[in-house]
This record gives sequence, C-alpha cells and structure tokens, in this order.
Amino acid sequence: MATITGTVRCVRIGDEFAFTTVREQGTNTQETLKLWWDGVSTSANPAAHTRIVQSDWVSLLRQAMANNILVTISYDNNNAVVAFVQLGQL
Amino acid sequence: MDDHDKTEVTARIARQVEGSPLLADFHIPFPKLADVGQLNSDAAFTRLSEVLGAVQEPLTVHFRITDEGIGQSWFIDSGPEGCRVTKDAPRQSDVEVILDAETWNLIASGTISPLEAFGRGQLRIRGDINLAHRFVQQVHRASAPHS
Repeated sequence: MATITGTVRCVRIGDEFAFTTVREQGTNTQETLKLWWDGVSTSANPAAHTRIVQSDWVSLLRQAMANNILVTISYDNNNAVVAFVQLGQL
Repeated sequence: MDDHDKTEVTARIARQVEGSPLLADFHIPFPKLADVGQLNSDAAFTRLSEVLGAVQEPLTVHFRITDEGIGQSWFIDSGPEGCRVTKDAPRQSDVEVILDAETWNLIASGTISPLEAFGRGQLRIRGDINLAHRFVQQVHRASAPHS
C-alpha cells in the first residue's frame, strides 16, 4: 500500500466514477487517483455502506481543498485505487 | 475477465466518458506500435517517437515499466527539433506513466486505451494531467491519416 500526502488540486465526479488529483507535499508532483469507477475498477453495484464511505471521502477532499488542509491518501501501489482518505495528520 | 467482459468494460468506459473531451481523448487507443505478444519495448518506443516527430512545445514523458519485478525507464522527449527516445532522463519529466510490461504490450498493440488501462488499475499517472492530455493528443494527431 502506498500513500501520498499533499494538497487536493481537483475532485472530478462523473456518473459512475470519481477521481482526485493530489499535489504531493515536498515534491510538488501531482498524482491522479481513482476514488471509484463502477464496473471497471470497483464493483458495478456497490453496497450501501460503500456509497456512504465514498461520500465521506468526497466530503473530506472538498474540505481539504477549500481550506488548503493536507490530506493523506492510501492506495494500492500498482493501481492507484484509493483505499483510505485522511484529513490532517495523525 | 473473459473477452465478452473486456468488451463490456471498454464499451462502459466509452459511455461514461462521453461528453468529457479530456477523458475521451485518453480512451483512444495508441497507433499500433507492435503486435500483441511480440513486444520489443525499445522498438515500440522508437516507433512512438517516429510517429510523434517534432511538436511545437517541449514535453518529456517518462514511461516506467516493470517486468517480473524489474523496472526499466524510457523517456519520450519531444520538441520543435523533433522527438527522441532515451533510457536516461534528458531533463525533469513533465509526466510519469507507471505500468507493467503486459499492460504496455496491450497499449502498444492498440488493444486497449490508456484510459482503459488506468480504469482497470493497470496504469498510474504522476504529473500534470493536462500535459499527459497534450501528449495523447499529439500521438493521435500525428498518427491520424492525412487527408
């Protein structure tokens, strides 16, 4: 599992998919990550709790972007599918 | 995933990105740079640089490809003077594309689009997505048949 900590540059939500772009703290390199992509990289019919978690992720990313707060996102090293979104530092 | 499922996913992605020019451009397959299963990455990247030729604004794209745990890099460095492929970084890359050899084989043979590889979780992009977009546009423009 890889992580990236940085500022949110973009949250893009389509009918069945959502991406976010994060600018990494220190390197200034941007990485585009998949929050979900129904029927492609995530389930075509996710469970209700999955939708709630996805909605929470969007809330955190929106909050981070609006207030320039650092986020830490964990994702699979090989496929950039988001597993966790963390607002601020532990 | 069988062939029918793969076709379903390809069609699903096309439907989902309809109306988004940026994403739709990423869903256009590359011109055929190699035959499926016959990949010679050096030759495929050389072919890609030949297809691209000279472009107005300089752009360096770093392809990092892992094959059985071993990573190799190719840099496509394009500009007004032409396009060249190198194994060492000519300058800081604008975009880094990270994928495995099998996925590169599918992209280089025109079997799947970069967006499909990304969607399937077989490709990562680091760097400015707008510059990555410019790169795929340049590839498509350069490989389009001239009228």
